[in-house]
Amino acid sequence: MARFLARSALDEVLARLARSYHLHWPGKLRGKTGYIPWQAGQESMLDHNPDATVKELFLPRTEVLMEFDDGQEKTSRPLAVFGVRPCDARAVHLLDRVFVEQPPVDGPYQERRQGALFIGMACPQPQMTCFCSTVGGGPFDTVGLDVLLTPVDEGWVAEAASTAGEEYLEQEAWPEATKEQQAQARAEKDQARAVAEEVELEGLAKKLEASFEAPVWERLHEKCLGCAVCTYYCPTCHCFDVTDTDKARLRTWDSCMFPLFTLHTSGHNPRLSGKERMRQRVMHKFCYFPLRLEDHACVGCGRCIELCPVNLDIRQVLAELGGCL
Amino acid sequence: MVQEQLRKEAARLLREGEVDVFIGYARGSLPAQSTVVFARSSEDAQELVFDPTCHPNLAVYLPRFKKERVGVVVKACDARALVELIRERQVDPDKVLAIGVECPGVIDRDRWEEGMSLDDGEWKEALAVACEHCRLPAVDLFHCWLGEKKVAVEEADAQVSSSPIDEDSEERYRWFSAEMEKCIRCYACRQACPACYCPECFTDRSHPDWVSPVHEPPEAMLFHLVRTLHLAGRCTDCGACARACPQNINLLALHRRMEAEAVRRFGYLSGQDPDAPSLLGSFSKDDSDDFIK
Repeated sequence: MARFLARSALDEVLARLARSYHLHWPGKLRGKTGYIPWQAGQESMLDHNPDATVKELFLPRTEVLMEFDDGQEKTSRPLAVFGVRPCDARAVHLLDRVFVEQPPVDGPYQERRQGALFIGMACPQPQMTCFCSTVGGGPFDTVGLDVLLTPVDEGWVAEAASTAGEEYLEQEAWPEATKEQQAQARAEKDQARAVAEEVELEGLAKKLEASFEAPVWERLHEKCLGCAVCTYYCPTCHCFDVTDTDKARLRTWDSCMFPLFTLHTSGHNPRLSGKERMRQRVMHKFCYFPLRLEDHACVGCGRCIELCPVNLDIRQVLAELGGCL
Repeated sequence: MVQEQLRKEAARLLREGEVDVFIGYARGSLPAQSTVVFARSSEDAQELVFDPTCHPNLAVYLPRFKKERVGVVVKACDARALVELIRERQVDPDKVLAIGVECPGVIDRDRWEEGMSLDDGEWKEALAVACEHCRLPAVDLFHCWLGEKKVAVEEADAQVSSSPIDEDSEERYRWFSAEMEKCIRCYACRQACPACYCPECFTDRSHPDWVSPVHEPPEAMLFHLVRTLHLAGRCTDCGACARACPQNINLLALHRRMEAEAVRRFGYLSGQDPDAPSLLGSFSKDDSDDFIK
């Protein structure tokens, strides 16, 4: 049953969520936007897909993997994210495949992921950089979501996308969405354009597997500056580094675009230049991941396209690699 | 028109074998965003564009080419960076053909709003900060120059933008901390900077690990302060770092402050003459030493 969440009831709903969950939603973060802890009275930024991705909540930039026991018991509420876009939710679903759905299970990730509630915001107006439909998602996709909200007049039509979502909606008992509201939500969905279908990914993984040594890589990487904007802003990139300090063992984000990422103790570096590093990034997303886990490790959120200092557009890279042939 | 002349000359250079590759700008996939093209044939050269969306500093690519002869399109700021690269023996001037272009200034995409027209002056609302202080290198190192060579030369001393960097130390530290909070250490600033050509940056060392991989402001501070010091007398104020930064950190305030110090204490202005001695590589008995206590 579709329910209706009135805009006027939003504050109360969020306050209730925050009692049982460590609630996050889109807001201002480090001079840009990201998912921030919800506090009463904050300005709503639900119309905006944040610059920083939701992965930070589950895979923080820096986390302590082990530390000396300080004897204090640690308790925490599960995470909830209100207003997450379908692309970011899909990304967490992909991270689950890596960190919990195959052995060995990653403890710290699983701990954060356990019981987390994703209340998603449908995306009726995708940006020029969006291409979620190309990689199997869509502006109304519910993969990874518990509840999907679709903006209508005065509020949102809410539909459960999982058992946890059903339970949550049951417990909230918002009024049933009227026929008009449901029709409006349906119309939004129908008119939402499929985003950037011009790149054909069918069969690309196999093609890429056979083209590791192809000369095209020589040219493709040429304009890449070798920074980590694309990887750090990617909701599915999850490579990390582990460092020991005198107090703890830390896990921090790392990027395959950095030479240090693959530098051996001997001084040898198997990915010597930008060519090898960029090839790895593309291969991981569109070859290795799909061949092993049957999904692209890209959700088409377009952040890497929007932020690349030299406009190295992954859609064009895929097209050039034969995705559209 | 500059763009037509540019295509024609680049095509000629490639066709007649005067260069092996020509680095320029091409139309990007987003509004107000150009991309980079490495043209290797006269046909490729037809992709070249030049307009206010051409914001990256292409001199950054030059040290990668050790054997090939390279043509490159340079704005005044890129040319100043080229002067430094030649001075520091990272680029062989005999292997580079620089085509200078008259530049109306470039767009900072963070200031740009959808619908701004490139044809009339509307885009100037989004003019990059660095472009407010444009100056030409004194030495003529260009293969040719397209358009007029008319660029306002500002007093370098006036180039320190008003930021709390000049306030008392507490206010300055608050400002600096807030800027550093934003940094995600993606190193886009370093990678976009022509003067940051070290094959191994100090941040890329793990023994000793000068900078910890932990994402916290002190680590970002260390990186940016060391980078600023390494750029003393070498930064040419092109602003490529600030435009590459996805977090809109006010990097120019740091670098301009350093540049102003070089001018004030040593009368030194970078990016002017590749044959002049470098600031850090030269010494004079008359150098200011009032900071030595």
